[in-house]
Amino acid sequence: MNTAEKIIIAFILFLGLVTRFPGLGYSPPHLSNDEISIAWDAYSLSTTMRDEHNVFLPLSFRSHNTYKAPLTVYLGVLPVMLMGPGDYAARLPSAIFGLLTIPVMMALVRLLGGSRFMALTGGMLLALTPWHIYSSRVALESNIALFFVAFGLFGFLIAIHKKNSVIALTISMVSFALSVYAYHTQWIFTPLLLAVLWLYFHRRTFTRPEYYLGAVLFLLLVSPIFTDYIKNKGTYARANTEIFTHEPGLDRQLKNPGIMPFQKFLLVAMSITGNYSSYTNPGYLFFDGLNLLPRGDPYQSGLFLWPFLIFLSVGLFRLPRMFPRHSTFIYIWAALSPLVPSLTLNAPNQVRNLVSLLPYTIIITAGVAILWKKYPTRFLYRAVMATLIFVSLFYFCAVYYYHFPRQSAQNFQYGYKQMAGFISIHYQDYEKIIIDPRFGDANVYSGVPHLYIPYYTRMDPRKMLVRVENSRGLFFDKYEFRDINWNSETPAPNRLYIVPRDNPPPPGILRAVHEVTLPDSKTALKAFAYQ
Amino acid sequence: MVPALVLIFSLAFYIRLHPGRQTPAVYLAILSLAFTPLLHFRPDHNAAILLLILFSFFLWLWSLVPRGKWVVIILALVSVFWGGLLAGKIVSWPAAVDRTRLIFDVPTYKDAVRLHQRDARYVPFPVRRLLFNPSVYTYILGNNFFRFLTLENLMGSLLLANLYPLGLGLADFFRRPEDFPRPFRVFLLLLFLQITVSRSPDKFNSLYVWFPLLAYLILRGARDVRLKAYFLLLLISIIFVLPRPV
Repeated sequence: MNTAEKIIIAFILFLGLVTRFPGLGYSPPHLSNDEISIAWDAYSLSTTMRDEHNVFLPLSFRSHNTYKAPLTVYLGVLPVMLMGPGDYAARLPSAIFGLLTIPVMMALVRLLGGSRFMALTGGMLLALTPWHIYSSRVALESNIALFFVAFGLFGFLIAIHKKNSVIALTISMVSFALSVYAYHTQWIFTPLLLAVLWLYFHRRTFTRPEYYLGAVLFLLLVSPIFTDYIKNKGTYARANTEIFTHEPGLDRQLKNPGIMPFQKFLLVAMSITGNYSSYTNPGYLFFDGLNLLPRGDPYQSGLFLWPFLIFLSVGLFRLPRMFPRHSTFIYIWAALSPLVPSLTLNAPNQVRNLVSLLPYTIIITAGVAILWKKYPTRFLYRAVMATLIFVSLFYFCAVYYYHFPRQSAQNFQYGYKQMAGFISIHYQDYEKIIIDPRFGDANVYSGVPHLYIPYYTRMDPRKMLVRVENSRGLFFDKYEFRDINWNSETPAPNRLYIVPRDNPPPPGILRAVHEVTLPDSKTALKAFAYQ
Repeated sequence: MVPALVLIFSLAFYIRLHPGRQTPAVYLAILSLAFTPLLHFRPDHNAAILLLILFSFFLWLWSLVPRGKWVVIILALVSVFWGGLLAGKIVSWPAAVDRTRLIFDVPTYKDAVRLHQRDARYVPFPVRRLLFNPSVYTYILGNNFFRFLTLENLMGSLLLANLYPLGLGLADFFRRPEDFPRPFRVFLLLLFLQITVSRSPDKFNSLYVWFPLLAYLILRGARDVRLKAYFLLLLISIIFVLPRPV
């Protein structure tokens, strides 16, 4: 590696750093529903070794109506111990693993047979891809799983290239196993990818004993999580809640005794095909898949910058030329990736489909390299492409770092963190703090303030473990989380009421003591106390 | 009757341009074209059916006549353009444009441009008007076109199996456009425009009159397909797509 390459690598990592780390608490504008669940469990584990639901070191974390994979929560324990509960502590692991995925991507391109130029291009493209920037800045499981899949593949390819290196193979299997602990998509995807690798490199894997031992190691490492799933099957496993057959229309037809089994089979196949189609829709991938702005806004950003579509189209057809030895594997990898997300509800979901990011980026890289070679001396072509990329990147940055936090704050339950700041100061002034969890226009949504408020006020998690939950609401410490109906509510002194903007108390008895507004200046929450 | 006529003219057009012995995959493609749902679709306007027949006929005639080709191609262009607008419901018979079906009259787009101009306080107002203005419609058009190009839409109208030769045919066109009939570029541009300007393009209505063009691309690509893979895809198509459940 020469000095110029080292400088370019440093520049790519710098780009990855500046797009992923600054303003983690600002964009996205608030910890989301899923993030706060992970963050609270990490905080709770750090002091009690138990999760929100009082389970000792769980392998599956019960969340709101679903369950979360364990690794992200356990990785969040250290930052929360070092920095205390907060946005940075919650999002830091994802940002770190997002950054680390960039050099792994470069290494993967090289190991798959790409040139040094292609490796650097692959790293640069990943560093600038909106999908990866977005995923790295939220505390979600799939981004961490993506790193472990990439690192596992890296180890596997090293093992193949370095004459069956046992150390590389062991690291690979551990990494693949960790990906299974990181996100539920990987429960099926990782074994599927391993099967493909085993078949693709069958001359090595079927003849060398270390690969059999590697497979056994992988199975041993993942056995606890699958044992846990089987033990709790039918009660709380996520696989039971997110499968595509729960789609209301399909579910009704599958339960209809008048439909023949073959027709049911066709319905299932068509549903999977429909989901697969939405995951591979070029409009979704390159124009509006990131869904940062309200529906119908034409300035939406795609999962990739839209000029990358040109490179993907070229790369798809000319992949064998750029990766002569492993193009078949890349094709299979790219085709396989959206398959597992297609088996789940509410497609397309950019988080579940994150596994597709790497093969697509590799294909885009091939496209860039082909066009770069084709027009080696045409300054105009390069200038036009660079301008298009720059313009699309500018719009993405403007939307992501400025317009998105302003226009989509409510979707992130914005306001609870700010209200927690007020509660922290006035905690001693009240005997009871009653919080209505509803929010949004006409109170259509129900939030999770029972996690946000204790997290941001740094409440002792032990108090949460002795909570009372019944049909009226959730109660712990001096908090009550329940819908407030002012007709039946009897306000009393020393009580603080926190309500959404569309549920104000009748005038007279209570007075507003604090108000939290959304970044677009609309009221989000109001706090009321006795006159 | 209509599908048979259209298919015959489309095949005649292809064979006129590529005489000589055909590969087995081309015969398989002819068979699969006969089964494509698009060919058996019936649009709302009977005039669109007539214009489809005319378009396929003019294409064949274009390949046949030694002189006056430009007259024939103009007739073909008119029939496909008008037929496309009628089938796509962008105009109602005989030629009244339905503005509600066009992408340009969507209020949310106009509101969003105004909102971003007002909100983007990180730049001075004149620059905001440069950054956020109706030029965003080019992006919307691109999005609209590529949103239409889904596996589901293409499979549903042309069969899964035919996507393979269609992809190869298109790749061939982009690689060597000079090997294709000259008017092809104009036709593809028209197809692109018709899909993009429609507010919610439908897979059948938008592609209906373009069948002869798509058939040509499929037949052209079929020469390069791997026969076994194509046959397998055709079998899957017949099992999954043709018997439509409930």
